Amino acid sequence: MMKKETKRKFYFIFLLVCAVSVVLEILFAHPHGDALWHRLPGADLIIAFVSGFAFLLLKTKVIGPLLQRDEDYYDREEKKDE
Amino acid sequence: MSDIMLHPGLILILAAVLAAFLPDFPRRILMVFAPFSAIVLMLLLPQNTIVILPFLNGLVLTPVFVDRLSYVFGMIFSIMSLIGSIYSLHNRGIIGKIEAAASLSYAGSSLGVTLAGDWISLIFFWELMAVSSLFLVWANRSKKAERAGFRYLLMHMLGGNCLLIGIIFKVSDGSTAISNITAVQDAAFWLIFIGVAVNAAIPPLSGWLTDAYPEANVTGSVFLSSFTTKTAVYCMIRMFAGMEMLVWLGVAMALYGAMFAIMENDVRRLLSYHIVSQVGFMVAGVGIGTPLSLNGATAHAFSHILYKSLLFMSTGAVIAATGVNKINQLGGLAKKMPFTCIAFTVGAFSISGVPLFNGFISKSITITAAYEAGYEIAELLLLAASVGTFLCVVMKLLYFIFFGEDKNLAVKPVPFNMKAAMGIGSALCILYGIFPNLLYRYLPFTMEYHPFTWDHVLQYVQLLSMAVIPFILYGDRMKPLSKISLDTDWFYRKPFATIIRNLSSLCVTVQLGLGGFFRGIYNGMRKAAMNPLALLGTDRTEIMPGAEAEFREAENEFLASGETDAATSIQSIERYNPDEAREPAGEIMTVVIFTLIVLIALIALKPV
Repeated sequence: MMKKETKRKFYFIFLLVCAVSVVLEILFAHPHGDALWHRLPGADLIIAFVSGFAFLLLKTKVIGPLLQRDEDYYDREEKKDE
Repeated sequence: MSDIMLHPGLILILAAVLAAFLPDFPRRILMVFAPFSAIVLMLLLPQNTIVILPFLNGLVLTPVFVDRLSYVFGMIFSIMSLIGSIYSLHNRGIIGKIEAAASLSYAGSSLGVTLAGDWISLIFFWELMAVSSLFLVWANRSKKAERAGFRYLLMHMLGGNCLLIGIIFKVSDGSTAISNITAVQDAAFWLIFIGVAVNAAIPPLSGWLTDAYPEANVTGSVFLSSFTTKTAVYCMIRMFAGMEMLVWLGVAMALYGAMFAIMENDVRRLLSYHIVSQVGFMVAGVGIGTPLSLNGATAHAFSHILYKSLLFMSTGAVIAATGVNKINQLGGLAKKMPFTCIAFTVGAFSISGVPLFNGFISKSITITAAYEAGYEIAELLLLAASVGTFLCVVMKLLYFIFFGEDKNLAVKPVPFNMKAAMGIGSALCILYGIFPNLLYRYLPFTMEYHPFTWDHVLQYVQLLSMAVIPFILYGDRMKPLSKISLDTDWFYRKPFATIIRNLSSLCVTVQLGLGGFFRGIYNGMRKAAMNPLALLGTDRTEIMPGAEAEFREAENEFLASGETDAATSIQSIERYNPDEAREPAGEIMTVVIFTLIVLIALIALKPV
């Protein structure tokens, strides 16, 4: 999909943004709630990674194989009716 | 009466009637002028305007009822009718006329639903909205659109009829004004709920949306994406605010839409799944029921109409320019279609909630309201759904269509009006994203909310930048496949369709079988009535007196005379047909025998 070099650049840029955001959060942000994920700096990074990973895992391993069909799946029956 | 003529929705509906007959040039002027008039009229409608009309049986209709809630929705619907009309100005000929009429009528009836203050006005505009939108689907005259449109019609008939029956119950109880009905959960409540839930595309009643919207023309899809679900959200805020079940239905919608969108390969179907997902945020906001969450739902509906229509417009431009609507057949279009790419990026950043775009200022209200109302799990799940949205729209659509492998597609130029509409949409997405108070000051409830705090901004920066990492890690698995995903419409497209098909074959078989059986009985009885001995067979009757015997004699003589072309010559002789000769008596006897059987049966079955 992507070249290795491009991937490396992407990793660098986005991980840098993540790191800077955590530093800024520690320095300036006032949490809006008492829940763990509001108080813990960088908790949103964990939420994002876990949910992003979960979506991809569900797509490739669970829901995809269960519910995906060929593109003419409905057309075959509907053509018969005609 | 003069007040009602200033109804912005009626102006659009009247324009729709005219648009169906006008030639291209005056129709185009009308398509800009009518929505513009609707915006001006909407702006001029003062708060708390109420217009009443006497109706049948002493009932009074309230076709115009303006409060802060209906004002916000009315404004965005009229703005959207203008943007959508500009986008479709290049349509020509009969399809141009049909689409213009359907889209103006659709926008007008949505405004009608928004401004309706009583149940009867609501159902009138509700049904008009369903019919107008159906013609937008059918305007793409393909076989697929025809079938999808028919399924769309059936689902909306189901929803519309449930709503109608619920409304009849309500009105017969004496309550004509639309109000929050969650206090008493009776039959009327549930029927109205199902009616509204069909339009809000709450699963499992959501199959119609992702089935029909991608089958319309690209210009029709822009309108379709904007009105039906958002009028349903408006009705939910009016009728079902604070219904706890909606919180979890909304969260389920948000996740379900994002999950199915990740698997989708059709560009517009993917975006349709995101309508379900984003409406999930609004439905959850309605369910939470606090002033902050209801403002969140309203603001998100406002923002959603702008960025979703922008996404449909830019992907529509891609489809119109390339003729391709599958993601895995598109790629590398950023250089060939830079304007469309920028417009799409603005829409994609908005839907994902990137700060300084309008999705951020509205989505974050609902998520904050969920936490403040004590729905902590709902807050987490809505955040997860935001990550799913970013993965699909930014990483999947934006990357694969505009930056992925170049598929060397020939690209036709995009008409200027399409670019103008995309430009207006993009400008509004950024404008409301930078200056949220332009929207906040019109929201229905008073609230204290500041989107640009360190906490809110960093939350989204972290969510969205970290969401890129799984995409880079497992990007190959995100590649769209040439597949479709089975959704709830599978139930009525496969097993239900098979049941109906088999039932109709069974009915036809039974009809033919029974028909044959009774015809046999009838013929037998008729013959028996004419001459019971005929049932024994013709070869046993040796004596044929009268005319029949004479005919047979003549026939034998003729055959004996040795004519070569005997067969044709015999046909030329007028044949003696015993059935014809005895018909009258036979019919009468049949009736007599049937009557006797019925009489005997009646006597035998008579209770003692």
